Formats: sequence, C-alpha cells, structure tokens
Amino acid sequence: MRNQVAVIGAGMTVFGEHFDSGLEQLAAQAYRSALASVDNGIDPTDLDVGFFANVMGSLAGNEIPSGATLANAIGLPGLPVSRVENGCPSGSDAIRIAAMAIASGVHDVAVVVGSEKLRERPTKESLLESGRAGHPILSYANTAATIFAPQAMRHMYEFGTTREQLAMVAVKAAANASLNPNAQRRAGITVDDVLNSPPVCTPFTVLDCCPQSDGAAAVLLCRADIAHRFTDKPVYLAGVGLATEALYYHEKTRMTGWDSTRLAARRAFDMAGIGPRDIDVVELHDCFTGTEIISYEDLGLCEEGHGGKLVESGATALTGRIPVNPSGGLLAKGHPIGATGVAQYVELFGQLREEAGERQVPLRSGIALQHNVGGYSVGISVVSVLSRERDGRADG
Amino acid sequence: VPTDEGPAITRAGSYLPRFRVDAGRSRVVVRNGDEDALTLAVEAAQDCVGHADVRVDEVMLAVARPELVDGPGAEVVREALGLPADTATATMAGDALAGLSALFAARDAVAAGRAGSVLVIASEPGDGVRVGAASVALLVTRPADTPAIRLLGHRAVGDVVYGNWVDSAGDRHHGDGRFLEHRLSALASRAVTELGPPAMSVSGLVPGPVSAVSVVTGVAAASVAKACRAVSDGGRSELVLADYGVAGPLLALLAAAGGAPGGPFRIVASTASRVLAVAGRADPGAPSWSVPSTDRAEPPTEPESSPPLSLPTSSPFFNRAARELLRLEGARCRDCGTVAFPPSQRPICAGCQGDRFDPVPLSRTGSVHTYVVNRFLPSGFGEQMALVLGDLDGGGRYWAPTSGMRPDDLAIGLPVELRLRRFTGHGGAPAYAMKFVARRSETLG
Repeated sequence: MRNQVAVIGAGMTVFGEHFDSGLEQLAAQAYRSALASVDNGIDPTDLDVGFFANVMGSLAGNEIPSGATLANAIGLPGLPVSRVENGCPSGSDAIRIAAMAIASGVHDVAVVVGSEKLRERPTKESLLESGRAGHPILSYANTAATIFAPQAMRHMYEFGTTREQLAMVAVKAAANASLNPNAQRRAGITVDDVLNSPPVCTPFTVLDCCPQSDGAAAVLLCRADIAHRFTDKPVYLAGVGLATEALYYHEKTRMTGWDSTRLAARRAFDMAGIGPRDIDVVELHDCFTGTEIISYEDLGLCEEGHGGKLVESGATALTGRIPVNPSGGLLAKGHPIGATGVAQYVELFGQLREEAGERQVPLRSGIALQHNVGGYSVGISVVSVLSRERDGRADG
Repeated sequence: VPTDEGPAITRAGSYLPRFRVDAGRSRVVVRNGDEDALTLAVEAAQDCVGHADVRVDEVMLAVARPELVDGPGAEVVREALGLPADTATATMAGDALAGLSALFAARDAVAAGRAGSVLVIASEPGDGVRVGAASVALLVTRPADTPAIRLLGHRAVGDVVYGNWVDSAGDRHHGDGRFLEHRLSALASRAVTELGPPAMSVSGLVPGPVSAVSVVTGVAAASVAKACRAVSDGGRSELVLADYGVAGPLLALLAAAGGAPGGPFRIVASTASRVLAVAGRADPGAPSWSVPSTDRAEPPTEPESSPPLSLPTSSPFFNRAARELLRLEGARCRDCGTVAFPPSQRPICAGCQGDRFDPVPLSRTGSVHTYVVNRFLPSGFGEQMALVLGDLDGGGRYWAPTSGMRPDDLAIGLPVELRLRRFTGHGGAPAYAMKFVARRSETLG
C-alpha cells in the first residue's frame, strides 16, 4: 500500500468547548474546511466512500452513531460510510481503513471525518463513564489518567525520569499551541505551573493531562495516481501500521511502554522503508505528559529510558532536532477522541506542504510520523508515515 | 489423654480488623469501609482452613443480621473458600448467640454422621459504637489424634425482655439499664448453677484442674460476670471479653481454651433476653485465641462507598466471573503452561492457541510493581483511591485497589497481599473481589 494513497485536503474545527454545536455540526464544519483546502477544488460527487471516527456517541451517550450519521451530517445520504470506533486511535484507524479501501481498488476518493463531543457532559459525569467502562472489577475506579499513569510511575522508578521532565512536555505543548489558532489551551505555562496545578492521579497534575474537548477534523484521500487532478502538493501515505497488545495491566509484558506502539511503528516503518532517523516532524499521542516521553522511546526517537532527557534537551521543541507535536498535541490543542488522529494528519499535511506558518518546522527528508495509542486499558496503537515525495515504486 | 470420642473443635481461625475508634469511654474495633460480614467471614475462615488441605462438608454461617435475605451470602463465602458447589451451606441469624447455635448444630451433624466436618463461621461487622468488628471460624470434626476443644455441656435460660435490641430498620434500642442488669444477673446465676462447675460437668471421666477459666461476653457482661462469680467457688476469675456481637461467644470459647490448656473452662454469653453457659475442655495444643491489644486508635482508611459499576451485580457477567474473582483463580494451559486471567475472557491460550485449561489459584502475595493514587475519581467513589499492580510471588501480576493502606506510604517494591473486599453495594447487591492490603507480617512488625 506504500504511496498508493494520497492526502489531498485536510481541515478541522477549533478544538475546545462547543456548547453551541452538535456532533453533526462539528463534522460538517471540518468536512467543509477539508473540501476548501483542496487546491484545484473537489466536487462532493467525487467522493465515493466515507469513514466516520467517533468514540463516545452523541446526545450525551444516548445515541449510537453510525456511518449514516456522517453521511447525513454532510448532506450525502447514499454515500457508503462506516463508523470506526477503536478507542483513541479511531481517527487514524479510520484513515488506515480508508487507505486500504482505496489501495484495494474498490474506491477512488474517500472522506474521513472524526468528530467528538466530550463536553456534552459535565466533567465528573464524563469521568464516571470512563470510570465505569470496561471490566467492572479489573477496571474499577479507572479513569483515563489511571490507564496511563502506572507506566509513568514505573518509568520514573526504573529510568530516573523526573517530575520536572514530565512537566516540560506540557510546557512545550503549550508553547506550540500558542501558535495554533485551532488549539484549546493557548496560554503559555511554566514547569512550576504544571507542578503546582491540582493533583489528578500520581504522578500527574491537571496540566499533565489533556483537556476534554469537542471538535472535528477531516481529511480527503484519493488514489495516488489521480492526486494531481486535485492538487500539485499531495502528501503520500508511505506506511501505516496498527497493532493490538495484551489488554489488562496484569497481562502486559512491561509497564514502561506499550508493545502495540512498538509493533505498529515497526509495521509502518517497514511499509514505508524508512527508520526513525528519517523523520522531520512527529505528531504523537501525548494524552498525558508521561505518555509522550514513553512514546519517544516506543517510536524509536531515542533509546529506551532516555525519553525524559530527550525533552529536557530541547530536541523535541519546535526548533529542535526532531520537533514533536508542533500543533500543541493532545495536551494543548485538545483531544476530541475520534477527531484526534485525523487532526494529527491535518497538522502534518500542513507541515509537509510548508503551510504551517509560525510553527512550520524545517524539512529535510519531507517525512512525518503520526501516532496514537489507547483504547480501553490501552490495547491498540496506530502509527503512520507521511511523505511529500512519492518514490515511484508504487503504481496506482 | 482424651477419652471423649465425640465431635470437637480441631481447627480455629479469627480475624479482627486493625482499626479502632474511641466511642464514649471505650475503644471499639471497627471494620474498614470495604469490609462487611461476608468479607470478615472469609478472612476468619481462611485463617482457619485456608492454608491447609482440609475437608469441609458443610458451612454454617452465623451473622446477627444477614447482609441480604435470599441473597447469595453463604455462597459467596463458600466460593471464596474454594469449596465445591455441592457443599451444604446454612445461615443462622437473629441474635449474638447464633454462632453458638451454629456450633451446636455442627456438633450434632458430626455426631449423627451427617457430615464429617463442618466449618462454623461467626461474623460480626460491629456497629462502631458498642459492638466490635470480628469474625471467628471453627472446624468441627471427630478429632482423632488432633488436639481439640471439646464441648461438655451447656445451659440456656431465656426470658421475655426488651432490653437491648435492633429493629428491622437497623436502629438499636436500649431499655432500662439497671433493670437489664438485674434480669440478666438472675438468668446467668440460674444457667451457671444448672451447668455446674466446669470440672464436674464431665461426669467424673476426667479429673479437671481446680482453677478453671471462665470468660463472659455479651450484653451487661460486667453484671453477668459478677453474678457468675457469686454462684461459683470463690477463687475463680471471670474474664470479661468486649462485645464482638455474634463473634463474641466463639471468641470467648477460644480465649477460655487458651486460658485453660488441658483443663476445663466455662463461657457465659448473653443477649438481653437469653443467657447461655457452656462448659468445655481444651486439650493441650488445642486451638486458642488471645484478646488483642486496643492500645492504639486508628481510624479506617476506606470510605463506605457504593459506586455504580459498569453493569449491575445482577448481570449474568458476575455469575460467569464469580469463581475467578472470588477465588482468584486463573486457567493454566494444559499444552504450554501459560496462565490466563480472567479465564472467562481468555478462552484461547495466547501462548499456543490451545483451549484446554486447568484451574490454578493465583498467588495471593507479592510486591508493588507500580501504583497510582487517583485523586480525581468519578462520582460515587471516595476522595482518593490507591491502585496497585503487584508482582505476584511465583509469577504473574494482578491489578487491584488497595485496602487499609495509606496512599502516601505506598512505594514500588512494598510487600502486599490480596484479600477479598467489597467493591460496591450499589443497587443492594454487593460485589466482592480482591484488593491489595499490606502484608500481614509487615503490619504486625
């Protein structure tokens, strides 16, 4: 599938609290924004398949959306659309599935929309849902924080990762988000701000945690060989991998990282024929500060145990050797779950086309990395490799 | 050398939570917020039979007040003890003498040959004010060569007295204290007189030592003890045991046995309307119990919370998961030895794709591999909760909340063990599973 599918358009809503917009309105806004981004224009009748990434449903959980929800939201009833629910990687998995639909030859042009309304419920109620989700005993009292915090605690114990290094991830995210008009948390913060914010779950305080967000994002994909009909600057999907892993904590092989990320990264790198050193820019799943540090290691951006030092060195800052989360990431841009992976593509589409404005990173190889990890009990990961060059080995 | 071949108490176990609070002028043992009559019962029963290969034909559970009527209370205990589904269970309830009633029924069942061994459990969650929390378990069998506690006789005397009772709403009522002491003293005098001195109760078969031990517990115990002294031969000491409700009389039995190794003893237990005097004799080396220290006040750590779970306890899920959750039982692959947990969700082996398994208990001891203290919990939970991933001794891990541990004292590497606790009572149907507690040797040390 390497380089057989191109991204030709991408757009998103502002992430944050959208009390005046429902799931469908946000989805439609992102869809329109993606259509408008196509350089040579695109007619909705060009779309022949859609995928809808959404995790928490609609109407405060009292409606289970389907593909028809998206098809109707964007005024295309009749379009074949499937809903993808695969935890935090739902958005990137929807793109992966769309790409496979195109690479298989069944479809030519796909729209992928991720849309989520987490702020439809009060924080505590929303937490209640996550605290109640899963096995009633083995997931007892769990929230989003408790499924990522035990690894951070163990990582600090085994590798000497410091509380301050965790905080530096949040500081970096906020700094990048201050340059992103679509971000939810745009105010600059300091390490002390993070350390002094209210405790959530050891070792995390409020500012170590991503916010609960509403928002939507959309990308348009097509066969690589027809991409130039729509734009002179397509971005190619060079590789993508999905992996699952042992589900419950007691079944996992290690508590200092996620095997699914390592496996998904290997699959994506192998498909793309590249390695971590070839990457110019990364959008990875920083739902918590500790998750970013651990994901550096799982993705091969540094050696195991060196994640804390990597952020401390400044290497992952916007001006660093390997900028990570120029958008502000989940921590500062926001994390409307189904939209998150799609929005990472939106950012990387802009970066690889050198349209990211103030937060544009310098490109050498023109290769970008996308990553999500999550799902209940954190059992799934998606990693994608995007490239502005099509190496010609794939043919449409 | 024992000559009495009748049924006797050959094993005993007990459990007292380590928490004590001051209520008025006295210090009372209290349970943690996630303990109840059933978890206390399991603690004592495991202390009694948990570490040995002991046959149990029948479980008799005595509680002053059942957690549920028509609920699976005794079945929760049976399953947690790893006893098969065809083990007979019975629940005796209604007053603090139910434990003794169960003990007599057990003795009779063994004497009649109906059961080879009966596990009698008396469990008292306490009221945090007057009645302490405790549980006790006694195994009744024909002792063969095992040192045992033998029951030699008992006398019960009752009267129609509303003196101290709990109504159907759970509220305790007290009548006139002086009247109660007066009536109970009279009932006790009569019961003790009719029972006779302990040494005489064995019909002369065994010459008992002169100084027998007597332990008194229950309602108006101080007055009852005084009355007992008045009708006994002068030098006898009447030890008064704090009120542990339905567990009290059986704890008194063990305390008396411990105080009179090889000799006769007597216990007297009272409710406001009945006094029961029991004579017995303990072989040297027979099970016993010493009254615990109440030096230190220590409030419970866990709040009483009943958060809603992802599905109600009445769901068939909890039936499918009962065995693995209550016993902490995994499945070992017959082909490659990989242990899976929970078995109900792992029907195919991740090691070799096999699907033939044998049940295997997971280890209950280990140390902290990693942990979190969650201070931002969903509605229905308490203010904070510590959760631990433990490395289990002998391999494997388990993730569970902690119970009775101070979150700030948690550390990676800390020795812990798994005990059955109550996770919720939401909807009136409690759910039980394992929680991590500090390893007992650590607590004592």
